[in-house]
Amino acid sequence: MSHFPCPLTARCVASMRPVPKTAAVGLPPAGVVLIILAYHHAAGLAGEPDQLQFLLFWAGFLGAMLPLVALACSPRIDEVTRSCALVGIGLFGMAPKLLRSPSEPLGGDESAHIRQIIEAFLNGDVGHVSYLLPITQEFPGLHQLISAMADLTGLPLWQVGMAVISFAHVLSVVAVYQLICAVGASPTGAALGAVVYTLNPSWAYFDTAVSYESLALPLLLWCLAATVAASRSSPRRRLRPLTAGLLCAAVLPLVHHLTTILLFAILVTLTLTCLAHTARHRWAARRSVWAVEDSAGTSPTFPPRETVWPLLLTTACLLGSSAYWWSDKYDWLYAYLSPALTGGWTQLSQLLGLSVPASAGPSGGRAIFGGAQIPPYELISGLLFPPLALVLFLVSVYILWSKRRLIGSASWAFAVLAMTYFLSMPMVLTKQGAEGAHRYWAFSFIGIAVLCGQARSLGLPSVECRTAGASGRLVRHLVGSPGLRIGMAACVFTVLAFGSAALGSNVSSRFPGSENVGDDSRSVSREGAAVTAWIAAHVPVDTPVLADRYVSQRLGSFGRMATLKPSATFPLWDLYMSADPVHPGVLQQLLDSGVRYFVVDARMATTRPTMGYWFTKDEPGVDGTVLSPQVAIDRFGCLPWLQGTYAAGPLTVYEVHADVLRRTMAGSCQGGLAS
Amino acid sequence: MNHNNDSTSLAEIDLVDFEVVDMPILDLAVTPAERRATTSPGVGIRDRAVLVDRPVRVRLLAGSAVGVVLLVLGLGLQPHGDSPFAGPSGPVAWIAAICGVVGVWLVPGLWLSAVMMQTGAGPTAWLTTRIGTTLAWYALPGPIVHDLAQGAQATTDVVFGVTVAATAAVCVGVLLGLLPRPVDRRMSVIVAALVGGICAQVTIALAMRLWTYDVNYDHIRRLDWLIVLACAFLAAVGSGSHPVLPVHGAGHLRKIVVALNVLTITAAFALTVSSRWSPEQRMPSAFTAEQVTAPIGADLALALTVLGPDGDQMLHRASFAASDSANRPVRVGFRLVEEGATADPATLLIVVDPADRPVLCGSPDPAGAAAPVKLTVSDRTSGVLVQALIPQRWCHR
Repeated sequence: MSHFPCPLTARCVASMRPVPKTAAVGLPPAGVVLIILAYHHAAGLAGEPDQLQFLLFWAGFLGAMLPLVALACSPRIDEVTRSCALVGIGLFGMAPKLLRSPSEPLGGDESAHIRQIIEAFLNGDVGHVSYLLPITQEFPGLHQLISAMADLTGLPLWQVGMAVISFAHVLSVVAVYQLICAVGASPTGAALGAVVYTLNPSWAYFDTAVSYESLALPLLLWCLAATVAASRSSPRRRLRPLTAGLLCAAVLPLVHHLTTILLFAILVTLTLTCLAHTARHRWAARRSVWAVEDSAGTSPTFPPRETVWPLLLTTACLLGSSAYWWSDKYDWLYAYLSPALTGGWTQLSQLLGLSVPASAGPSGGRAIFGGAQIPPYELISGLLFPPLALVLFLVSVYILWSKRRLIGSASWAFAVLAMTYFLSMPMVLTKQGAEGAHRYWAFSFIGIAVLCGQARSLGLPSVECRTAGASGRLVRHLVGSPGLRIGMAACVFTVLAFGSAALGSNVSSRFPGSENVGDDSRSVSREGAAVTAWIAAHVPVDTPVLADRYVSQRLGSFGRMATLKPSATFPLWDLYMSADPVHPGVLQQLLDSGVRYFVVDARMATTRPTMGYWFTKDEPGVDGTVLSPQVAIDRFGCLPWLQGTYAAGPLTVYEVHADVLRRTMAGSCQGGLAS
Repeated sequence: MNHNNDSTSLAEIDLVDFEVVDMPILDLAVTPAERRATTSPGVGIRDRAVLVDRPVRVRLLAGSAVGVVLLVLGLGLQPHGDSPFAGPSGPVAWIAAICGVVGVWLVPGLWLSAVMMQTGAGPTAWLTTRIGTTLAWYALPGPIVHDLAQGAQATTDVVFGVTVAATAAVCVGVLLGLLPRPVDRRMSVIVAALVGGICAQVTIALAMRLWTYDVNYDHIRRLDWLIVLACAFLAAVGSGSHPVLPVHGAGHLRKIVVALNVLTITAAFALTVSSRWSPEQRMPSAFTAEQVTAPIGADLALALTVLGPDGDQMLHRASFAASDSANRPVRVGFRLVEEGATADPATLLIVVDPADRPVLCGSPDPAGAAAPVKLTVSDRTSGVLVQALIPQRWCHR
């Protein structure tokens, strides 16, 4: 065994204060109450968000999270207490989401997924045709899971969905912990790494939605933990972690495409580093240089033994499962994924001056925190987030490099993964690449978490501990004083938590508030629910209906309608947005598509949607200021083939009389044929 | 902290407060009494293995049996026909829900993590495996059955059937593992596989013969060989493996109970406070309108339903107007009739001024001469706009 002769560490540990068990037990209920009060206050505001809602939220969130984090990272607790603290972190991380949308979906993704879950629950459908988000019909794992749980427990679908995601959220924390343990870190270091992972911008908001990554990412983490454990354990104990990894690799292609692809990339990186490590090990073994004394000259050190075939087997299983489930989806997947990559890269090239814009269209650039209504401290923390993550990364890499003979190959694979976080940063500046980059951070942060966890385990290099100079004294002072160290850690956690929230989500998703027309998170309305209930009661399932995006989300989910989307080749938006008589070709498309109902929001003539578009991002006047002509909205009332059969607030449901339309082909109120 | 003296731990670095090992090793959870029993003279190798495994196997069998029984009980007690978004109503529904939740937690996660899978050592690893196996398992049966059975629907029966069948197969293997014979380990695994396969085939055959009401066995017939093979494999795994279950001391249990209490108190606080100060988005009130059959004395009637606490006031503030299909104003009389509580829909009775009857009936309708007349009714205050149809015969009165 190799003892690091670092008196500093010994003193630190000896003077370690009692772990904050009381605070970790007592503060979460108070934290939840403060978050509820923050939301209640925000929901009552008429206009812009105010400072109090943020203060209440952060007081509640940090007040509960910091003691749990301190408890989880404490070296003087047993494993059961640490497990409870980690589970507490995972569950409390769900609190903002659980309180924000306790009874129904929030936003487009959740609406599309809840529709699939409803169909799986009611009819046992596996991949029901989806008009809201076609990709949801291709990957039914999440829907089947929630539907099965609801079937077997008899609990309401939405609450079961939230429970499943809560479990997955807990799994994400404990799986990262296990992954870092498997890489070779101590429990304390692994807990620190798990905490670092929870600070990634997606964890608190994006990964808590009833959506793909919320389940797929924890499964990926579990797969990595099991596979790395299998590759580093003795042959006698290899089978069970390997089986866990294989099960996960078999399931993941059913759950999410992007996560599967990224798991494949991570496994390939792990395999390559493992091969390099093994080759180096063999080469060194031949030259008998491994069992050498460390730099302190105290005792020999050994590299961990690793086996590559569990990694290869899991990769093969993942490939096999993907080939089986995706055999008829390759073209479709390519078409789905490539625009974000190619578009983002093109826009990035233009921003960097590497290429010339093809046309004088709208700029592909976007302003960081443009239009964000967040307080200054969140904004500053958001800007500080990448540099702080870089500091953590560099310090960790330095520590690992200085003790490279003690660590295995997996750490370097995760260092490569962590590096891609910083490489993806420029994509945030582009409109098309920003979403992809945001979503990728949850994956690349695994690397940062592993590095931090292992660096914490290894501690500062002994050479630093013995440095007698001023810098050595400073380091010794900073790291040696428990109070200062805890304070610094709390500050870093707080800044990263602020920054993570600022980078991860917008205010309208995070807080309730005044109703915003044309906003996924805030356009939920009583009239929308009433229209949905009326249609669900009067119209057969999957009847084609046309409505704007915000009404469609409800109609397509709870209403179980086939909500068609206009496009450049199917320009039914002309009915809403053009004062000219509707073109006969459009009317013919209307007939061919079998649209039975239009839902018209009268506010289209008086206001612009918050998200910049009513139907899709390809519609005319997207992100502009031009309102829909009142004439166009009024036209719905006088076209002879339409009848406004139901109204709720500003929404009117118009029924299409196809026989009258076929006979008249009237594109205007005058009743004549459109030119 | 796991101290591991196993020869497999190559990189053990003892720091001041922790150690780094290549991989945490699983505690096999053998009590001293069990160890003494297995090491006593006269006990053979196979007998020793059986004795070591026996308590864990019995616990595993008991846990899985309880899980299956609770799942069956939960499904049996569940009220049918409720909305998928409605919560449990009544004590029976709540008992069914609790049975279902405990059943789902026990089956199949218990046997998967005890017999086949593991992520590391210690309670966190055990929890990771339990959650991971449960989530992964319940995502699988639907798509697999749908794919293998050529489009079969993934109903409750499918998920429940696959889960219970797999659990039963593993339990058969675990049960056979309790027997001291056959002595040869490989032989015992083969016997378990045979028994598992035969049991599966017999169960399928009996079910097809005895339980014919409302069951379509086409898919099961098609997948017969696959089911038998899978059951044989699972039985073999159950017999051949050394099941591992965590052993919780009193201290550990106390900590888990404290953690569960914190969770319960937090949930109770959240429910209590949010019932007083709701954290949900507040939505403006509104009202809806829909044509209903007009009573005698009225030409048309609209049912108006209020939405939200201020909907009633909005209804009373409403200023209705009517127009024809060419958007020309039509003189009509409105009368709001409210019955009972405010939750009931109010009725807006509409009587068209006889002087305007020619305006409505006289305009040529592109929809056709026999088409009903369309009257647009709107509220200038709230923007509600609905259209009512007047039968053509009304024009000829």
